Amino acid sequence: MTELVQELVNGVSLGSTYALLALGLAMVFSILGLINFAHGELVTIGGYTMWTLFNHDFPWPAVLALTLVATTLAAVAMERIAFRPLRGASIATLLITSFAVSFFIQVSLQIFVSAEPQGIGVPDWTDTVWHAGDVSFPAVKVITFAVTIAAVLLLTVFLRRTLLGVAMRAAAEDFDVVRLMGVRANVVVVSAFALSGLLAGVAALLFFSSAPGVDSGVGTPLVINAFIGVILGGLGNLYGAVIGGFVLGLATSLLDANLHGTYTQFSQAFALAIVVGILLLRPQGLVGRTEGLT
Amino acid sequence: MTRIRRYWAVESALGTLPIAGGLLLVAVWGWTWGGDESKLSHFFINVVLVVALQLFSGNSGILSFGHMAFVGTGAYLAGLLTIDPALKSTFVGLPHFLATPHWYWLLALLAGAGAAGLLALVSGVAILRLDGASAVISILSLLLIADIVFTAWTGVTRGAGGLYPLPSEATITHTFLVAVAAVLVARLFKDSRTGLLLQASREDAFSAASVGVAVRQYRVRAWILSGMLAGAGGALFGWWITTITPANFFLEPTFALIVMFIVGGTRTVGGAVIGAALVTLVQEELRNYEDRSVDLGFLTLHRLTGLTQFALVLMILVVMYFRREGILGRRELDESLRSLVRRPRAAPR
Repeated sequence: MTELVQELVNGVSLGSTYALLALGLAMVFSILGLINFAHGELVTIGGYTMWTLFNHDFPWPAVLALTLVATTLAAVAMERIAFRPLRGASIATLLITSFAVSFFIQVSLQIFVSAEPQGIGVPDWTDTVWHAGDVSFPAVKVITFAVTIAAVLLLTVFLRRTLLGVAMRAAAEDFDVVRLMGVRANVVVVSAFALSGLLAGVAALLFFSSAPGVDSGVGTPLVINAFIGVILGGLGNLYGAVIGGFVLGLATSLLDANLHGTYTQFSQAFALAIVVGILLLRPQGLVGRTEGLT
Repeated sequence: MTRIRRYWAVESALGTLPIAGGLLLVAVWGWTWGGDESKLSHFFINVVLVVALQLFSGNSGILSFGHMAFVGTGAYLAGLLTIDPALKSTFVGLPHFLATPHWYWLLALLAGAGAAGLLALVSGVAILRLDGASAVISILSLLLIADIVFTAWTGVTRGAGGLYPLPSEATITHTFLVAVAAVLVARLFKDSRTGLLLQASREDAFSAASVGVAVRQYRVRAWILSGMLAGAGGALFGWWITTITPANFFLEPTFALIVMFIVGGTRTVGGAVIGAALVTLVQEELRNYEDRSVDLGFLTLHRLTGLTQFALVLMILVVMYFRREGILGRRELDESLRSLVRRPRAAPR
């Protein structure tokens, strides 16, 4: 029993990271039809920012703020430089471009920053572990979950209560009509990228608080898992993406713990096979995309 | 659109002559004029791989991000079938039917192609029911699944440590012959009834379906044939590089393959070959500078890791921005040559 609870705690924490990234991916996808593989590199950039700042003895609140600024700016720059010239291109063209951007950032980091993994000097309090009975609750994992839920709630308020949020939801439904209503397309698109960058920054802060270090390739497996989460939840559905992320985190954690021997390494393959199965049976995802961005 | 003529097969086979001639020149360069055989073999292997991708994606219009799954399947199976059994006896957990054989290269290549074709059959029936974004995403998922299986199935693939030593069967002669065969198959398919109907569905799937084109069925046929060619190319690739790891069949090579496909022009077999030539040039010539430090005067770069990748990124971006149809555009080499020679006919109507 305690083992199961422990696996659930781990799964929820893992799922939170996936959910945050899946949320950013889904937001950009719903508006532009772009699966942004370079989304993982935003996390990597966040990681390198943390590494640089902690090495220069910045206090952690400053690191927190500056990391979020860095990933948001990186996302906006990505949109401006790489994706804006291709607005309206096919999904394959956009996907190739996002691969290109992803490799470009990875190679630049390798050449200009560091080819070796770098440890991040996070504050000691991130090692705190709380206990309840036999189940241990590492502080970082609890915070990860709480922050994820808070981020989702804040985002909901933003999307429902602000003019820009409503415009973004509408753009996910029908971009042309939104433009006819007098909303500037670039404002909506840039906001979507900025928000996805902000969410990636939050994910980076949480992820690197417990990860052993940062290297240029750290974003790839993260973005792949987030991508699986997005599909699980239904492409373009934000709540679906969050649920998909959590389902994937829980499934991976439970499969990892309960599959025996060599099968453990296949847990991700099982998850992906399930994804393909879901696409076949329910192309609209687990939750469905009828509601668009909400 | 080309009409189906009576002797279309002869005509389109003859149409591959400019490409085949070009490939023969490259081979002769290697055989007699001292061209670097390893580099030229790499070129021929890239030709096989990109022509395989062109066969499916060029005709159907669905860009495949999953072909490296077939390439990997072909490489692992053909590699295992040709490694010396004495060496294989030291591999722990290798199934018996893979541990004993020591096959002739062509047989192993066909086996690799067959296995890849089988994977294509199984995956195609499932994936190609989907359309548009879902199809692209499912094909990408196939690549992700294949990578996990290659990494995790250590009994057969040796996992991330790599399978080695594969025999160096990818000589310039072998790769040349397979490349010419692949070009011929792709061109014949393109001009065949199935190929033409598939191209019609690429232009407008709904219109094609409305006049009775069984779009899905033709897509699956192309997918299987394309998978088999990719498997054959994979077999050669394994023998060329002699140590294969799952990373050889994951995102970076997928990207390189797509660059080859797009740079030359997606609609033609000739474009695919030109793309292969350009990418091979980049891969082979920049390799010498990878991991080397460079002094630019104002700053010193310690390790140019990923330089090849960087060049490929630049190539694709340039083509995407300035010439989306690729270098060759819509017409095959022989078709362009013919229209140069012949005076343009008066336009119909």
